[in-house]
Amino acid sequence: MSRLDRTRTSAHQLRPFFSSQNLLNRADGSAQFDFGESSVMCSVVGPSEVKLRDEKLDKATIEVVVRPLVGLPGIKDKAREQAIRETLEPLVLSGLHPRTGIQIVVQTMKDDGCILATAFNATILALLDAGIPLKSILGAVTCIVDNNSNEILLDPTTEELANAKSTHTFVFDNKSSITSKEEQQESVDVATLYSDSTGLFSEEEYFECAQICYKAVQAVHGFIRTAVQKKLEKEYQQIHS
Amino acid sequence: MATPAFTFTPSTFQKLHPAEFFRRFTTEGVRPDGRLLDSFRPTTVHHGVISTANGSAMVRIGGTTVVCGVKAEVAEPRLDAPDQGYLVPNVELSPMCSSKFRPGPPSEQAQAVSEAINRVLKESKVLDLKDLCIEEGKAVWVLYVDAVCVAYDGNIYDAALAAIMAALNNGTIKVSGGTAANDENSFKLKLARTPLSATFAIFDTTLTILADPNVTEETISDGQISITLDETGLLCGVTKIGAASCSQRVLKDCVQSAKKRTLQLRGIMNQL
Amino acid sequence: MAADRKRVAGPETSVAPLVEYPIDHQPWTPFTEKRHNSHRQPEDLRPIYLKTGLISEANGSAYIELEKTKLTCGVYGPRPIKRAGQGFSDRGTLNCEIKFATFSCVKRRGTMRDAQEKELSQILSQGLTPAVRLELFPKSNVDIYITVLESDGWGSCVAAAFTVASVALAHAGIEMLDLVAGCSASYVPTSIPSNSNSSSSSTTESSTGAGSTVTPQIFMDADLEEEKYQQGSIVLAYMPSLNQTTHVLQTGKAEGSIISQSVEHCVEACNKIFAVMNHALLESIDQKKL
Repeated sequence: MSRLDRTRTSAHQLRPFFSSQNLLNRADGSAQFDFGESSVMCSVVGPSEVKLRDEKLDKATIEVVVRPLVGLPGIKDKAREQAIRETLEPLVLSGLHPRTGIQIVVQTMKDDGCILATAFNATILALLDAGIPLKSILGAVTCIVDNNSNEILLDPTTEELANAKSTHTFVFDNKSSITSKEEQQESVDVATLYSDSTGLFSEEEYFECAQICYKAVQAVHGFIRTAVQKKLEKEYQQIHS
Repeated sequence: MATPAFTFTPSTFQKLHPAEFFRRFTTEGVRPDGRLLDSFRPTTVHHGVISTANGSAMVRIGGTTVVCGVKAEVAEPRLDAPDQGYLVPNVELSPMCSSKFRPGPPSEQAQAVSEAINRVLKESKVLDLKDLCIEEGKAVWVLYVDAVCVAYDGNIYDAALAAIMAALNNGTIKVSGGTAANDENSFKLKLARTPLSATFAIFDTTLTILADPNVTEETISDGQISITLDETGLLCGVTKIGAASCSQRVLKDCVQSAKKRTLQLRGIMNQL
Repeated sequence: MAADRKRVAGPETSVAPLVEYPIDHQPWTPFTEKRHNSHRQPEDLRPIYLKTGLISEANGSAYIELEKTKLTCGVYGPRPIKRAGQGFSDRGTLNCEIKFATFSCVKRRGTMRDAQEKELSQILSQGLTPAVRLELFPKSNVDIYITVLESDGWGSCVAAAFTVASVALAHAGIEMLDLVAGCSASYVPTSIPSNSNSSSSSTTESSTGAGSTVTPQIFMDADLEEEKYQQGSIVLAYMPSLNQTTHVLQTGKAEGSIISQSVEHCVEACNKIFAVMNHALLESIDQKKL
């Protein structure tokens, strides 16, 4: 079947990834991540000084600011800020930098659907670029259940999102899920770091979407590893050439 | 024989080590307020409490009280949707309900809850906005649904959603004044479905799930799971935010618990 | 109204719908010599329902209902002022904030505090401050937050605000010289004046012509429909045990004799309200003992 964006042929195919790191020279870490035509840039400054009233005695304070593509931030962006901050809290080893602040700014550069998932991926790349200690990395992906065909489509574009019966965004880390080989089937007990689903869907549809998104997120994790590896190789060459 | 160097009264211990104090209870399967880990607080729903509103309700879940009022006004429709009205939900968390909230514009929590409820109402198609059309392209009804939190004791999302649903359920748009006999132009709001929710807090590294967290439990918890269901058992929303990764089994258990809870809540709501 | 970025956005502007009344609809007028609620006499107050302790997070709280007027009040304090370094104050401060819920009036109110609410907050502060022993908590502040859930008459709203705030302050354990009871009265003409040009829907302006000869009747605790016909009104905040008034708010036009008569009626009514306030506070103590 051909998807609405005509470049993909399968329902479970992600759009081509693109990322670049260390783009901003004023920030401690920065990265841009693209899911096809959706692009989000993220900058990280930290660990740095934090206002007294936000100071935590035993941990670093994580602050997230989300800026939309056009206009001033609204409540949608506030909700995304809360989502990103709450998801990063258990991942960042903030106990290593008490009484400091880590400020993360997320800016949408191009919007073709799945901005939250793109933002999550850009944020983790930027945190890696900044050298903030993390327990694990994360990977995010969105899927929808199409209104007409009831099929699960991965990584929808804005056009596909308009025809969605339900939209699901999942974030998985790269260590909590346990893969077990039973008989001849490999089953995964998928461990969800962040999940946000709206629309009308059944319980079975939800857990099926989780499984499908988990498989897709493995590609995102692999991509993040490759991106960081390439960046480090380039830096090593620059230092030693 | 060593005697302990310091001994505390329970209330002092709670102030110094709130999480540890709580842990002593959860390892026994109970919580400081006497509830089991999966019990919800007593809930009451009152309909039609505000006569100046088109529809209203008051919901009390434990110590959290939310009053919701629906006001209908008339406006021009959007250019890209000339036959659709507006449904504008908002949740107010004022400094009156808790010292956590400062006076001024809505806090991040209020904005996040308002946005979550707005998405549930829109994407679960609770109300057909075409029903609110008066004259296509010229005039449509706007339903301002404002949920005011009067007392805050945790779990604002469940209480606000229930109050909004109950208020919309008894919402009537009256076009003529006078007695009920002259109401041919008035109409009752027709809801396609009534989503209700159950929220759980995720506490501690053991990922202990606490149903219907109160304000102290919310402060010490790391994350939250909210499950929203409609009356046919279809899911309208699943949110898992914060805390370490949860297995599918935990989410499945929460969905089951939410199914029971929303059934109970519907029973309470339908008692007029 | 400018688009509020911190709330779910509705349309830019919207208007309240016009209500069509059928031809045979007869709205209430005071010229029938009866009150809007025909069971009430001119000197009757609406029955008051007063309860404390509904807001567990607050130091003190109270809820009042006068039939269709519903208010909740939460009191926080005494708590330290933020910038305590700037200038030592040997007296505490009282901060009142009143907010009408958007659905509380017939016409939807805005979400931001408007000028009327700010004025009311000032009036409340002025009426409650003399009763509170502020010298007992220097460098501290007491916050009183009132939300009006439903409003049936502006005068009764203000009076109820005084009452509910005092009860909440007492429930919070803040020392006061006395409770402050609030009461309102309206001057409503009950007979059509001799000048036939008068319109029956005048509010504060008296009828046209050189001096109306109508003596208005004093309706205690007027509701919204009755207030539409009022020539003037008075709201009194009174400390019953000390027999002292903390605040008088008079609007409209009336002769001196009418005003002094209505003040006496209000004082009597405040004494009755005082009994209700005491009862509610005693009940809350009994509940604490249980």
